[in-house]
Amino acid sequence: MKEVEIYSFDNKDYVLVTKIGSYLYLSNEKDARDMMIRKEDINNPDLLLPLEDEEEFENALLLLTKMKLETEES
Amino acid sequence: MDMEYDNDDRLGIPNFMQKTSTYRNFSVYGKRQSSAISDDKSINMARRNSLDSRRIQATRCKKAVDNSLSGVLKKHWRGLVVTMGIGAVTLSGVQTLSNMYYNVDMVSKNPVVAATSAVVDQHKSITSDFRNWQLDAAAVADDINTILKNGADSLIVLGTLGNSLNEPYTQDELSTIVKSSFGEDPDILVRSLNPERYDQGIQDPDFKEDVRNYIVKQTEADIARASIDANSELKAMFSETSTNVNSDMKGMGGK
Repeated sequence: MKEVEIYSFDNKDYVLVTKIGSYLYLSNEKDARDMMIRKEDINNPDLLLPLEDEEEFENALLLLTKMKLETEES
Repeated sequence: MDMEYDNDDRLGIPNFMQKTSTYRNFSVYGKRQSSAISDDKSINMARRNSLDSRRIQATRCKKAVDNSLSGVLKKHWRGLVVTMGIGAVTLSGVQTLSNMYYNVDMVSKNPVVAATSAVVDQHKSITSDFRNWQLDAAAVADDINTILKNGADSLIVLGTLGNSLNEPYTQDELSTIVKSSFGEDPDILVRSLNPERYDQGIQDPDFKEDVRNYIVKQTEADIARASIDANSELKAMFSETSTNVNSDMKGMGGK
């Protein structure tokens, strides 16, 4: 067993898969295909903000790729 | 593997890709699927969920979950990253995660891939309901023609277009662009390169795999050449500096 952080909303539980900066990479605990990237509000960590646009979505994925690359290299 | 490259080949295809020999048997990748899981549905869902403009008030808690769940969730994210990788969509038939990221990195570093992908992205926009993409195919074709006129490797351009526009609903746009830039339907064009190996046309996994490997090799060669050039420049500078110092010393009475 492993302890994870859960974000609950819309009657669903989302597992925090990883966090990079203010970006939260969330996956529905019961449906692995239901994924999203959200930004944590600086003043309220329980408030999940949407990404601005497609470019930010891709940049957030790029950050995830870079983190994985660094993990692989280390 | 024979990686000879002849500019007189059709589309600049390296020789090995035009053979129908036993290459397939030597492939370490084959046609198997990557262990990374991803598909259009999950990508669109992730995009829609992330860009839905809602400010969500969530409640947080800690919870113990099975280790396997964590692994499954990470695998889906890995699949998403690979599939969303710049021009590297569905190019993930590799053996290890390390290889996968290395190849994605090499592919993304290639300037022709970057330029071609940028052209597609530039003329792509999402509809206001975040459900559909729209692409200005004529504008893409114009920019691609410019890239080709500037001497870009046509195989890399073609492969990148195929990977950037691989969804079923983008095939009409892809066809329009390729016909405009290469004068031929994309599937017919790719099949003509190697009818036996690329029987599925531009979305044939073997074609994608060969293009990916070709791009990786080309990028590695570019990096090596740049390194050699940089070293030569440094040596020339050092030699020039040494000569100047010697001259100065001679001027000061040195031997």
